[in-house]
Formats: sequence, C-alpha cells, structure tokens
Amino acid sequence: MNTQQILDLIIAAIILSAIWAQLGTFISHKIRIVSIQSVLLSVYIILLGYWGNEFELIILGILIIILRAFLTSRILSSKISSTPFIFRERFGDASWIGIISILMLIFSFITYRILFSPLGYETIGDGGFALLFQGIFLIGSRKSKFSQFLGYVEEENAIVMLSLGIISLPLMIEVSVLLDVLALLIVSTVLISDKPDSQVFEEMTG
Amino acid sequence: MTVSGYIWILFLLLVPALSGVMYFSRHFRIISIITSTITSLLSIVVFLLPSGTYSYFYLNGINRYILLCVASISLFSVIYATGYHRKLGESRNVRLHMSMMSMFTFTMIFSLVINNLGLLWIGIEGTTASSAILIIIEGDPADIEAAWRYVVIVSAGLSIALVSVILVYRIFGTLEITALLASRAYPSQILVLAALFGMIGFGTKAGIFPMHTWLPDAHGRAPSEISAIFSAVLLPIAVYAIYIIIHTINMQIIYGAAIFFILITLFFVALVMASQRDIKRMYAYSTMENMSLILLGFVIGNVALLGSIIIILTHAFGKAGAFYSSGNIIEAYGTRNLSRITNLWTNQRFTSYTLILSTLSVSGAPPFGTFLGEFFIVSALYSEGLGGVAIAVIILIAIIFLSINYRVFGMVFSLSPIRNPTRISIQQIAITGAAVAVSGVFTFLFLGGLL
Repeated sequence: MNTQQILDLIIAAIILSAIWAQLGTFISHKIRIVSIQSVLLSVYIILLGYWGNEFELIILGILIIILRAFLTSRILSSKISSTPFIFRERFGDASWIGIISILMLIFSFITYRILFSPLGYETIGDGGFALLFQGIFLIGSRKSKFSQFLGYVEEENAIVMLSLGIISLPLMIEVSVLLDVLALLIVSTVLISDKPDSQVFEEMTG
Repeated sequence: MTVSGYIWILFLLLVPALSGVMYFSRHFRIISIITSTITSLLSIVVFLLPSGTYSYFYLNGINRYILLCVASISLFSVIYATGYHRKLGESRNVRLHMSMMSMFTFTMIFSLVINNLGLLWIGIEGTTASSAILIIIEGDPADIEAAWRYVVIVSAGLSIALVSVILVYRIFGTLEITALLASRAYPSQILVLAALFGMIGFGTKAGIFPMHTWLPDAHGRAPSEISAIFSAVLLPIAVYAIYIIIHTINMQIIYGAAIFFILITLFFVALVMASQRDIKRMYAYSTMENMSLILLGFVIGNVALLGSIIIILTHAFGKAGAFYSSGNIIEAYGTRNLSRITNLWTNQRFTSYTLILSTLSVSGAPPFGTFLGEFFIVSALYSEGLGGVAIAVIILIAIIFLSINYRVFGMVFSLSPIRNPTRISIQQIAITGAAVAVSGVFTFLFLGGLL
C-alpha cells in the first residue's frame, strides 16, 4: 500500500463516519463518532505534513486533535446527563435518512467533479465537499441541538479538507478558525443546557 | 503618519477588548459607559485618518462610516441598557451582558478594519459567538431558541463563506483586501463559484433571502438595545464583506446574481410586512429591506455608492431609534403584539413621536437620508440602463413603506382605554430621542457638503 492509498483510505473512513453519524440515534455515540472523524482528519494532516516535510501541517493536525477531537467531545459530553443512554434522538425513518445521505453523497461527488474541475482533482477536496453536504444535512434534518452542533463541526472538518484540496490557508487563519469554533461551542453549550431539542414558539412565527 | 494611524486603530480595538473585564467590577455600568465613550471618541479620530493601509489594518471610504456607526450605536445601546435592565439589579446576567457587549463591539470593529479577508471572516464569526449570549439575558425559553437558531444558521452559512475565502486565496494568492480590490483576474468558473459561495455565506449574516430565517427570530427576541446593534451595524458589516467579494471578483454575471438576490429579498419583505404581528419582527423585516438597498448601491457603484453610505448612516440611527422605541413600548404595554399596542398617542406621547419619526426615517420618507439614498440608487439604476430593475425597486419599497407606516400609525392613533402610565427610565427616553434626532441630520450634512 503506497502513501496515497493510505491517505485515500483515511478519507473513505471520514466519509463513512459521516454516514454513521447520520444514522446513529444515541447522542453520546454520535459525539464519539464525530470525535473519531476529527481524529482521522488530524491523522491525515499529520501524515501529509510528515511525508511532505511541512511543519505547519503537523501543528495544525495536533491542534485539531486537541481542540476539536478532545475538547469539543469533552464539552458536549459534559452536557449529557449522567445516564447517557437515555439521551436518544427521535427522528423520522432511519432508512430514509440513510438513502438521502447516500444520494447526497453521490450528488456531491458528481458536483465536485463538475464545479471544481478547473482546479484539478484532489481526493481530499472531493471528500471535503461531500462532508460539507453531510454536515448541512445533519443540521437541517434534526431537531436535537446536539446533532445540529455536531453537523456544524462536520462542516468545519469539511472546510479543512476542502482547504487541503484547493489550497492550504495560512496557519494563523486555520488556528483562528479552530479557536472561533471552540468559542462558539462554549456559547452553544449554554444554549443547549435546558432543552436539548429545538422548539416551535407561536411568537416566533410570521 | 502611518505609525500614529496604526496606533490609533490599535487603541480603538484595545479599549473595548480590555473593558470586557468589567464583569469583575461592582461599577460595571459606569465602566461600560466610560469605555464606550472613549471608543466613540477614538472612532472619530480614526474616521478622520486618510484612507489607506495601516500595518494590518485598512481604512476606506466605506468602512470608516460603518466604524463610526458601530462606536456610536454601541455607546447609545450601553446607556440604554443601563435603564432597560435596571430591574435585574446587579445580577450576574447583567454583568455578563454588559461585558459581552464590549466584546461584541471589539469583534465588529476588528472585522471592519482588518486588511485580510480570512481574518475578516474570523471577525464576523466572532461577532456570532460574542453576541449569541446577549440575546438570552432574560432567560426566556423563546429567547434561548432564537439564540440557538441564530448560532446554527449563521455559523452554517458562514462556513459556506469560508469556502469562498479559500477559493479567493487559490485564485489570487493573497487574502489582503487592498491587494484583492486592486487585482484583476480572468473570468472563470471558479471565480463565479467563489462569488456565489461568498454571497450566500455572508448573505446569511446580512439577512439576504433565502438565508435570512434567523434574523426575525434573533431581532425579535433580543433585548431592544441588542436588536438595535444587530440591525444598525452588525448587518452592514456583513454587507461590506459581500462588497469586498463581488468587487474582487468583478464579473458582470455576479452583479446580475446580486441584483437577483436583492430583488427577491425586497419582494419577500413586501409580501410579509403587512401581516406582521410582532413589533420587533416587523422592524427586523424592514432591516432586510435596508440591507438589500445598501447592497444594491454597492453593486451599482458611483452615485449609488454614495446613496448606500447615506442609508447606512441614517438607517443606523433611525433603526436604533425604532428598536429603542419598541423596547419602551414593550416595557410599558408588556406585549410585543401589534394588535394589543393601542392608543400610544395618549399613553406614551414621547415614544409616539420617536416611533413615528424613526419609522419614517428607515422606510425612506423625505427629508430623511434614506429617501435621499434611495433616490441616488434608483437614479444610478436608470443611468446604467437598468430601468426595469429601478421600477421594480420603486414599487417594492413603496409597498413596504405603506405597510410599515400603516401598522405604526395604527398603534399610535387607534383608540382604547387609557392605561396607567409606566415609568420609562430617563436614559431610555434620552437615548431614543437622541438616536432619532441624529438620524435626521444626514440629509442636511449632505446638502451642506459635509458628507
């Protein structure tokens, strides 16, 4: 197995984790899945940095592990009650969610090849574009605030992948984005605290 | 010269950033007012600096005006908040609220002056993190839901804007705003993609249809001084980001797409305005109209750009006045429901004046600056050969004007039993009056050659 195949295998695992996150019903499991996804992404970046002798990428990978994989999951998990298995998400038919996710995956792969073709093909960019759609779908299709926030984290992982596929942003900007997302996470945990599901209020219509 | 300008801007950023520590002081209210006043004075100094780059910062003919509005409206809102939240005493919530208001001001100023598109994105995302908590000071479940929708929808939208930033960096090899605005690239599919991602992403924050859904919820549920900041200055910052994207890409098809988004936003507002039941949601939709017009002026350029700047200034103070007036009414009547707010003329005479004048100001009645700005934009559309667009804009803003003023006059002059007067704090009355008065001066400043 050559280096490119190893990297492609990691991208495939990231995409699989996104599908798994769509189908999972226990919030605690879902947090772990997205955490694994972030670890896989950071492993990819560290390997890329190590093989390409790019020290900035290694730093970025380490920061993703610390800030996104570890801290994010710790903060979100702390908001789940002491009996995490009770925290089960209610949503429509899981089979339909699965079918729509896979259709979106195919759609995003085709769209990426059409839209981004002038930039040349990069597996990581393609994977990032697919993950972006999966994140948006997770936000839009769920009422659970936890799922919605995890969808947002997936979106941010997708942006890192897209950035690697198109052009790596300067490290200062990448790090600031990570810190920004962390700040948003802390704010979100305050908003999640009492009611874990999104609600409809009469005064918020019209 | 350049060094001193850089230091002034640095001070302008440091004062609100450091004043966030007021949370730990017993005198947090007075500290908040003093630091906001210093920030306003510094913003005047920075406003007077010549256009150009100052190390990491950049001043031009647009961001300096928004900067002035950010500092002024933040000061107004801080003073208003000391009266509006007086019943909450010195609770932890109020301390956090005042402290986060400073951080919110810092992130807005940072977004405006930074000369880097990537950091501008981070600043705008930072405004979301710092302002979400400001919506929930009263802890009402509906407030928490509104704050949640704000965080999720805006952040998801801004992620799309980040894709645009990445594409811009790939094409131009830099994120420096001055370099981007000066550069020229050959039209390509990727450029179109970057512009569309940017318009949709930053358009989410600016309240452009169809990504606007957070806006009426957040504006409607936030305390009035926060709704005022959101509407008056936060949204124009997002419109400024769209301006940078579309003028960097500079393609005819992108200008066309922007005009399409603007027209459907105006059409949507015209459609929903008359059926509004909540006073603050009504003004939130009015903000969507104003942001669309500002963006239209940015797209057309020349005299329309001047029109946009006049609207930014007038709208900032006029809409702040409208939200402050709404806050006074909600406090007096205990409801946001338009059908339950009646006979305002007898019950709250001063607020009746400020409500009517601020509404006329933001809806484009002469002689307010918004009218002048709209006139410049429509004339520019005609001279650019976009007569059809100009007619559509005139019809839509006329419908919106009639709808909003009909609802406001209905609240003021409808007859109902006289209520026991509720005491509104002197800070609230003074700030509401001041905001409305300032919104009326811009036409005269323009006619006097001062703008």
